[in-house]
Amino acid sequence: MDNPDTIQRADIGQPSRRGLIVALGIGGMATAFAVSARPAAAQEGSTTTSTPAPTTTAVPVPTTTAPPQKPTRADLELLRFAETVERTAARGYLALTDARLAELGFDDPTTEVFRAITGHHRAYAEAISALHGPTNPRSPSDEIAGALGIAALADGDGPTVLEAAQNIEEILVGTHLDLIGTAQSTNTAALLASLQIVEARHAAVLARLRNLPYGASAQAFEDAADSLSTTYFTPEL
Amino acid sequence: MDFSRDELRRELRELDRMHQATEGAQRSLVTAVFEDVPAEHRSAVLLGGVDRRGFFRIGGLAVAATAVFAACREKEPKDPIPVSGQSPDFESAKNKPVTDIVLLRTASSLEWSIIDVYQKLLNNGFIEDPAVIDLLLIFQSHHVSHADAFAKATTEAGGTACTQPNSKITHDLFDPILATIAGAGGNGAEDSNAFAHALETLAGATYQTFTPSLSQPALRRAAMAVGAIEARHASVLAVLLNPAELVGSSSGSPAAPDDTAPTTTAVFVGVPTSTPAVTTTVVESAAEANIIVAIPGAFGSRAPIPLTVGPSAEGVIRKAVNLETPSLNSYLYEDEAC
Repeated sequence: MDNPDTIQRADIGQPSRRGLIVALGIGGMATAFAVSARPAAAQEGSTTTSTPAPTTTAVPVPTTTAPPQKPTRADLELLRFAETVERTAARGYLALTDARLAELGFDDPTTEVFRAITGHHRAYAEAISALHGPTNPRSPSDEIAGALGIAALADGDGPTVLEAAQNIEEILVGTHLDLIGTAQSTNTAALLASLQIVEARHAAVLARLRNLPYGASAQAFEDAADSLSTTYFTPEL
Repeated sequence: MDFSRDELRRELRELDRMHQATEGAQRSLVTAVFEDVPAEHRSAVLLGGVDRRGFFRIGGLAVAATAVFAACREKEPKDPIPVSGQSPDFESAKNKPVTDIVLLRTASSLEWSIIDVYQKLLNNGFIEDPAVIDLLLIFQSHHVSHADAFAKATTEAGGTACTQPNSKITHDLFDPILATIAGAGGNGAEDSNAFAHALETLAGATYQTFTPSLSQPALRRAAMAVGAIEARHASVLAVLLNPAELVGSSSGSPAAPDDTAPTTTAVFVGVPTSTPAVTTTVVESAAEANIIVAIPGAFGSRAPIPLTVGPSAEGVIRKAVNLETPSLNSYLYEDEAC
């Protein structure tokens, strides 16, 4: 509250008592902020010195953008296709029951190989479905079953079944290789790689069971010449 | 419990009467306290003597005192511990970035390291089975193609291609295993086969591991175009070396019980005494000591690959090594020579 005394001092240009207190308070606060901010600045490197910060030990930061980890929308479509392919293959191998394997006259190691392959494709379908996330499970595709030549598993004799199974695995290896080269997310690529590498083993073992020699003509690189994705995978995006 | 409502009402009315009787006296007391205080000073009495001006005064002084204390604090930390002599300058560890070029260079160098091992195995005559020798020659030619492909990819990505074995892997891991195999005696051939199988498995697992680390889908595809071939190599070799057990126990289909006689080696120890009994100790054969299965599991494994090599004898512990896919300590970084 002003009184005649303070008004008189203001008139003659001298700071009032209240103004002095307020000015002192503001000045103190400003000083306190400046002092308290000093340690943080010292940690980051002083900006008051004229010499620049040393850069000899600096690590160059890669400028490439990190790929996504989780499946992208396009990857989800790709996963749905891969799941359909695996469910189709799994359904086809179900024709090779223990009774049928015995009927075909396979020995124990060969029988175990077929049992394992059947379980693997079911596991692949489930793993792909799990990575995709909640959705209706995909159904096997008759069209893809035809492309894989699955009918021979149910109808053929021993050598025919072995040949058909090897053909299925070769097609799956090529298909997944194609999908690995299409998938954007690292999780999708990692899952597909983990199953494609075993499907290549399936194919190699089945070829050996057919007594095919692993000769000098063996390819040094997998190819995707017979990939199903070029014909049956049509992304909607 | 039962309450008498009438009794409750009577109690409440009595309480209300007592309150009415004391309220007037309390009001008179408050009025008497402020009766002699001027109206402009009553707020000061109620607030304990701090008016608006006093509030600013105290606040300003407190802030100013804080500023003074902060400004007077010690600026430079004292030397923590007196040190005699000159302390060495330590260079902090560098975290080198793992780029596509690093992975491609490492892939080339690993291929050359495997080629180098096969050449040593073949040159030293460690492998006896002609079928295995033929396979290794084919595998070796494939590894040369793989190394060339990754060298080309490295150059296209802007890096310096590596056309030599990875010195960290060769010197620290592969060469000691070869030295052990050289002294393995009768196990040399089986150990060599097991080593070749482990190398192919390792190569496949390496590309599977690199796949999610590569930033470009095209490079991932290139990695698995090679990785799947390495897996085929491992399986073909496994079918040849262990045809009775094609599927691993973790493959979801337990192996059928084996009716054949065990292939373990019986070592007879102990000095013959007057009693005819002898002590037999079963020593694991070279083939049994290593897991050689064409289809080891449902999914490709990136776990370390166990390998056991060395001579089998009573009281001798064979050398067990874990082959691990290249990682931070064995990558071939961009600023490193092969």
